[in-house]
Amino acid sequence: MSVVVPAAQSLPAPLTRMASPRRLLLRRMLRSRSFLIGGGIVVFVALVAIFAPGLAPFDPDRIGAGKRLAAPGAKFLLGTDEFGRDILSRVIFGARYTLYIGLVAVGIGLLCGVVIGATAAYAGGWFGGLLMRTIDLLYTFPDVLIALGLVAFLGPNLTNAMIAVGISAIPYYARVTYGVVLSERQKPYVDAAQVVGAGHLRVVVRHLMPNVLPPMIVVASLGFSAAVLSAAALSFLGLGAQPPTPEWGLMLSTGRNYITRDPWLVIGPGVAIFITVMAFNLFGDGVRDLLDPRQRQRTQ
Amino acid sequence: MSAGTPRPALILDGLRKEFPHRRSLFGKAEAPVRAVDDVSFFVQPGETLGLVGESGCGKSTLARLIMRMMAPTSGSVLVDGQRVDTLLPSEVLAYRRKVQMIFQDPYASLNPRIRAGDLIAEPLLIHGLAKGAARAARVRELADQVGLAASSLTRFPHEFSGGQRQRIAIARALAVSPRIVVADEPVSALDVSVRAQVLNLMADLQAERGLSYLFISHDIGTVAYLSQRVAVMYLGAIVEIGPARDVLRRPRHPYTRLLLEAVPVAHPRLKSRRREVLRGEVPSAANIRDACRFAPRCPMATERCHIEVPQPRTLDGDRLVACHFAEDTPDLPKGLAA
Amino acid sequence: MPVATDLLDIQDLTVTFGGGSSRVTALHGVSFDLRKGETLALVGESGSGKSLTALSIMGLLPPEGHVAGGRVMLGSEDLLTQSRRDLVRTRGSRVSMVFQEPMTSLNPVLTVGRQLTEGLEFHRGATRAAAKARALDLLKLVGLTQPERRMRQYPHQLSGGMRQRVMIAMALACEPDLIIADEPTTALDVSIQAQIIDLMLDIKERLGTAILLITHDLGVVAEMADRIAVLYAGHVIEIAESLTLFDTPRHPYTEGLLAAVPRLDVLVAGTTARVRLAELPGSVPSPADRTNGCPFTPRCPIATARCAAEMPPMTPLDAAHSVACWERAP
Repeated sequence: MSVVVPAAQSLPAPLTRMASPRRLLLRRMLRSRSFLIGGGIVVFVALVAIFAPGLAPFDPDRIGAGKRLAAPGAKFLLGTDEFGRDILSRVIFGARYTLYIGLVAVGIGLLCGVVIGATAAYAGGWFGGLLMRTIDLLYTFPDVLIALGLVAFLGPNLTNAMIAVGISAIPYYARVTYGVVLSERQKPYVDAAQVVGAGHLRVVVRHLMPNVLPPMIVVASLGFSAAVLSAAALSFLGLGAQPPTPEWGLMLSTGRNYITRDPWLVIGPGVAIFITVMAFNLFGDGVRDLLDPRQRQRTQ
Repeated sequence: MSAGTPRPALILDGLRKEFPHRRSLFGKAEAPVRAVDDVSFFVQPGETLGLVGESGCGKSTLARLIMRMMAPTSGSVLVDGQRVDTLLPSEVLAYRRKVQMIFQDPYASLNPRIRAGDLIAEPLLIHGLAKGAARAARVRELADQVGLAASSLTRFPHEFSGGQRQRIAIARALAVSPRIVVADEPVSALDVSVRAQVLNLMADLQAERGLSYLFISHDIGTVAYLSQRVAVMYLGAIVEIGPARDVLRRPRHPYTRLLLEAVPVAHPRLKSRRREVLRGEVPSAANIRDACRFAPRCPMATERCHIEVPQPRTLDGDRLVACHFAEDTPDLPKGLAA
Repeated sequence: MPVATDLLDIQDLTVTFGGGSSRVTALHGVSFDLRKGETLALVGESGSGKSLTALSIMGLLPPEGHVAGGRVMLGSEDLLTQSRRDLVRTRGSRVSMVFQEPMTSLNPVLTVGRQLTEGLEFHRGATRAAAKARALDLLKLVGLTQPERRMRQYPHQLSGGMRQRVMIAMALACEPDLIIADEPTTALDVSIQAQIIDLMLDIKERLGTAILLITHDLGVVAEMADRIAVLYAGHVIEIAESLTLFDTPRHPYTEGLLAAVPRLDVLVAGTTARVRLAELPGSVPSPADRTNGCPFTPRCPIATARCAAEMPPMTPLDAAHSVACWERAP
């Protein structure tokens, strides 16, 4: 019993003749330079981490692989450290720790932050207000300070450093989520969902989250580099990874005693941190450009 | 109210919504703003009541009150003789099956990350109306009724044109087989050449299903096309309500008349008529308590209008007008009734 | 029509967006002219290119867009080949623009008075005092109450209607020959719209300013236009005097558009039951849809095979009425 079938058949959707959204996204991915370069390096770092045992020429912990403080050369591409360990191998294995720290810290921060921020924004009222004022209070302290306090409380080791960095980032993720959810929940599609009878859980999970998470992915990829830096800083201060872990921040810390005479001890891990952090920032910028609805419209 | 015919599908009874005035840090509290002030009307089964008003007159707040998206300060909405604001949480879903809504902007009211078919299926799922293959069949049937090709149901909203998006929204609203549909400016975001499709679709669906529409719009031509009766709203209150043709041909409230005069002519031949322009602009705060709210802009206002609120009076049998001097309102100039 | 009375003459204006394989042609050789003191309405729906035409005239195309061909002659000067400096001068003094949303086109951190006097001082080299006196005159001209007070106010302190009056005052500041009004009343309520229409009609009558009115609203067109050019998907498809176009539209799109709008006068006058609105099937094409033929073909009730293959040229039916349609003007 159809009323306007003729219209249905003759309705040309102007956009359907164009590429599918997935193809469109792919095409734009290939065109975005920061996404390609950043993403490429991220993938490279990840591959290095995964295949570290195969790639590293030496056991990273083997003392006396060469003579102490050997300058970079054919055998030791990045030189050796004060115990004669191969710095290249240690940097390669360090990628594992770095990615691991980043993932765990961002995971903790994102998960708790999204839940807190989304709850506060969706619930609103005095409860939401109280939640966010508490978060704001925490936000006034620098993350590293919070992380320092937490590590001091939990005890200095790598696991606690990761947890501390993750917790210290919660206020940040909570605030960003709060803003995104607040603007999304004012959109008419949320009203429309409520009008057809969707309950709170359904509105949040089925309607809000798919629109909130993409921007959060951007935030998380930018947060990843911050987490890597914070963890390196904690290790540098002796509150994170403990010797002989080949963690980049720790390597910088021990290498700094030799910085004037044997600078390669800090150049290897330093450059590794720099490249990884930059790659994640580029990658995050690229993803943000891709998800920017204004840009999406322009390509249509 | 003259309702000799069957019981109205929707009744608003003295509905009022106040918003607390924003209080500055050291300022003293002001009286709350009355966005909707003592609104009463009914919509018969199978009837379209057009609600006309300019921005800020409270027509969208009215829609939100009916849809239970906010609670009234006082007064009530009744559907099937049952008060809507006192429904138990367990009764709300049943209410949603009776009353549905079509939103103004189909670009914003459809979740951009959900496929058209899933959007139409969602109310069926929520209300447990059809499962599995039956649900898919019902979605195709609904799509067919609103003129959407079944093959397009796997697409996302942004892949549709504005008119098609509004068809998705209509299918979604009709999925639960409501008897009352509140349509808040359903065509104003659409291209002119597409509006007629959606208006005709709405008219066809009404004829087929006996739907009642509360059709909210600022566009009087569209309202005139679809409505049997028209209500005119100004600053939160209904100033005139009656059969569409009578109200639009011979408005009795001075605001209705000036609003009709302001509507651009439909043909350049009619433009020579002298227009009496509605002076000034709608005051932003609706805080006129002891006077006619239109008095400050009304060309006919007398002292009485500034000290006494005009109560709605029955005129010409089935029309209600809230004006002390409704009988004196001059007729529209000839041009409009071409 | 003698050439001397032509104020603006647009020939074959073609505008493209993007480059390479994703290049999209948004305006396909748009041509029309505008005489002194005349109001020409460019009527079209989304994607018709009506706003792009205005932006091209003003040299305000977005960075991705560029003019691929044609001429925009203002008197004897081609605005498309003008230097940046000359263009700025033309823009301020000979042609000015009124936008749809005055809030976004007024500077929020400057007072109304400052924004008005700035243009006068820059383009006319007026002294502060002279510019201020002129600004007050302009605010009175556009019917703003309490002009002295308005001068000191910021845009957000004014209502939408008042802001649009200020925009019109700014547009009039340098006594331009031509005002381009892009959907000047679309964001306004009916009653305010009527006030602004009356104001623009009044200004045209008193100052003889030509108006290029860009709108999708046929009611506003009926109220204001002397002549009408109908745009569809980047093509001008019909041009005629206003009365002619409303009485005897020749292009099937124009016909369909006029029939698809509910007419209050007819509805109210009618004594019989509601007459079904005529529907134009389908929807407005996107500029990305490429066709060599007439873009209206998929929605056209009288289309033939030729329409799908070849775009009909604008063909005069008489001195003042042209249409681009194989069936109606072979």
